[in-house]
Amino acid sequence: MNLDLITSTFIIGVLAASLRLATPILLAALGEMFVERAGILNLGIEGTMLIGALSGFLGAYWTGNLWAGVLAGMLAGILFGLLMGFMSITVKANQVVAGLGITILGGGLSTLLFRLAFGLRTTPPTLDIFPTLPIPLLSRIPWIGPILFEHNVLVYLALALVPVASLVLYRTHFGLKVRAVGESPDAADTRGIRVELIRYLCLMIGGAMAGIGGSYLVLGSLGLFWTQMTAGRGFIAVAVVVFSKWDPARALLGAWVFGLASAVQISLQTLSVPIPSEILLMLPYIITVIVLVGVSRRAEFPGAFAVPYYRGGKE
Amino acid sequence: MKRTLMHCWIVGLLLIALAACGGAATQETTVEEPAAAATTAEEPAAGEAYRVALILPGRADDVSWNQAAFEGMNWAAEQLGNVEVTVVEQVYDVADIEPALIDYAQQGYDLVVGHGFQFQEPIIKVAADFPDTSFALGTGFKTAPNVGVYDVKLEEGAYVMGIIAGMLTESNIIGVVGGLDVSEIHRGHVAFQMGAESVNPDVTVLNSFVGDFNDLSGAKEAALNQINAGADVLWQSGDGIGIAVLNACAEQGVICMGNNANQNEIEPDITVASNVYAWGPMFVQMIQEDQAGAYGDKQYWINFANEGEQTIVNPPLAGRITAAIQARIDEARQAFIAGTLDLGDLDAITIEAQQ
Repeated sequence: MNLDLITSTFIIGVLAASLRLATPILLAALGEMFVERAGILNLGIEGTMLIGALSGFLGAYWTGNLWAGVLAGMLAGILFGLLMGFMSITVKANQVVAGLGITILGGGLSTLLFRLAFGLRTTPPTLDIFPTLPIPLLSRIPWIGPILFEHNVLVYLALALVPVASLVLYRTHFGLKVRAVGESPDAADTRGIRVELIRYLCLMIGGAMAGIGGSYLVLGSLGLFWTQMTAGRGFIAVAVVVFSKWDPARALLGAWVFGLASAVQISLQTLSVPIPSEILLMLPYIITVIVLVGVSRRAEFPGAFAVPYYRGGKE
Repeated sequence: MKRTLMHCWIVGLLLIALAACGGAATQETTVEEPAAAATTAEEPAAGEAYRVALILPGRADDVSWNQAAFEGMNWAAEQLGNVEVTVVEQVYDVADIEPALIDYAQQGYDLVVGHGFQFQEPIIKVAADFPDTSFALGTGFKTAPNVGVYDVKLEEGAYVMGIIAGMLTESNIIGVVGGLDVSEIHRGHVAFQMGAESVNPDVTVLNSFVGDFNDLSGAKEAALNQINAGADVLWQSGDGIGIAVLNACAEQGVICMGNNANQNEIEPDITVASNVYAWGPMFVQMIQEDQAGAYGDKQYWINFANEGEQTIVNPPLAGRITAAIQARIDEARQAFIAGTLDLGDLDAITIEAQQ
């Protein structure tokens, strides 16, 4: 064991990394929360993040503007959200199958489009990522500063969207309609709420957020696109939504717990703790499972969760 | 109903924990071999082309494990002439491997190559059903009458990478990041530490495994974590995640080294050298032996002795490799070629026990 490597720099580094690792998951989870609140299960988040990552890369690479990349990732995510909407709302297909189909589509399509755009290369195309943006004054607070206030703009954006999501969900007409549609589409429909429209809008929000989450990996972390680079983060986001009981503030906690578990796992390997790496690598997932099992007893899924809506009941 | 859904979540998560990866995309790139066409023109009676299917777990342009094989096989086809190579990329999920192998065997390919350790069980299984097709397994230990294994003596190149890192470090802390602790990657990581300790008894070597060869973001965090722990020279055992390690080093201004392909160009300001695989001559030998009917039940290696493995210094940073370092590199290289440097059974040493 190399416990003498533990310095303040090391600990600060681990905690700062936990936020970076949580960011793409948080972004996707905040969007998926609206989708599930409206009564739809979208397992296509993983694929949506991948297409978001690719579009984010292409948008930024071709225009030379990182924000154009974020916008492109968002738009591609919205398109994938609409596709999920077509399958789950219009055609009323099984949502699990439709979502997994979108995930496979996103993986294949992003790889194919990347190859079509760049061909076979001897070195991968890269771009400069969003620079670290230390927040004046706050970043100079010992410990807290470098952990919380020395990140790039997308990390702050993800954190800022948590209260925004809360506000929209609990304090606006739209949020009320979303919750009504997810709990009891029949009742919502009789009150004149357009169930299908609200669900489509939520899928667009979910797709946009997953798209930004995917583009974070490219524009806020690596500066390049890689096949299957999301590596399961989309599915973790879906789990985080359940853990959060569909509440944005708790989603922040859930995403951060996973980010922290990942960062701790990485540092335990660096410190050469006498545990095989294969076991350490499972740690974040095991913690997520344990937390989910604990929460699941009291989790109350939206009343119409994963049930397609038929006006006047299914004949 | 609610309870059932929760069970679905948990099962799904466990699956992710076991195989953290999404769906695979399969594309085909058929490489028309210009040399083969030229040969046919000269010798119209040359007969049917020898057909090779090269199945890669990643992208043919990953500047790493897959690209080295892609370029090596094309080189071999060019050298031999009248060899047709079909390349399949992204066969990453184990569930996709067996159908791909059966597909190419049924199409009558002469040699079906699975470029990775994960191909071992499917190849042994499928090869029994297609005795007339030859199969090649990229790293592994199981052979059959129509299955040959090819592998890289990564321990040789890694030992030299360890010498460079051990002599360049000022903090006496160096690190190495890999995908999974298996096969040649394991031997490479163990030998990297041996090489570093052979020149610097005070060195501490950090080991990290990412668990997923596509999780570049995770690999970058692993590298940043090692740098935060004080590591000032990093190596990586390759695949896409290796590029993320180079990326982290460039961001932090830390010296890094490449593996598999010549990666000196990716981050030229901080990459001092790469351990480069040249599979070509070995593929030529395998194809020739198969054509002569002498293939199978055999292990092929690339190493320093047959120049299948080479230490390539990045010219702009050549000044960092001092005469003293070069002398130790040459010494180790010569000893490996002469067979006087035996590292022992590296599979018997666990990473945890070594530290």
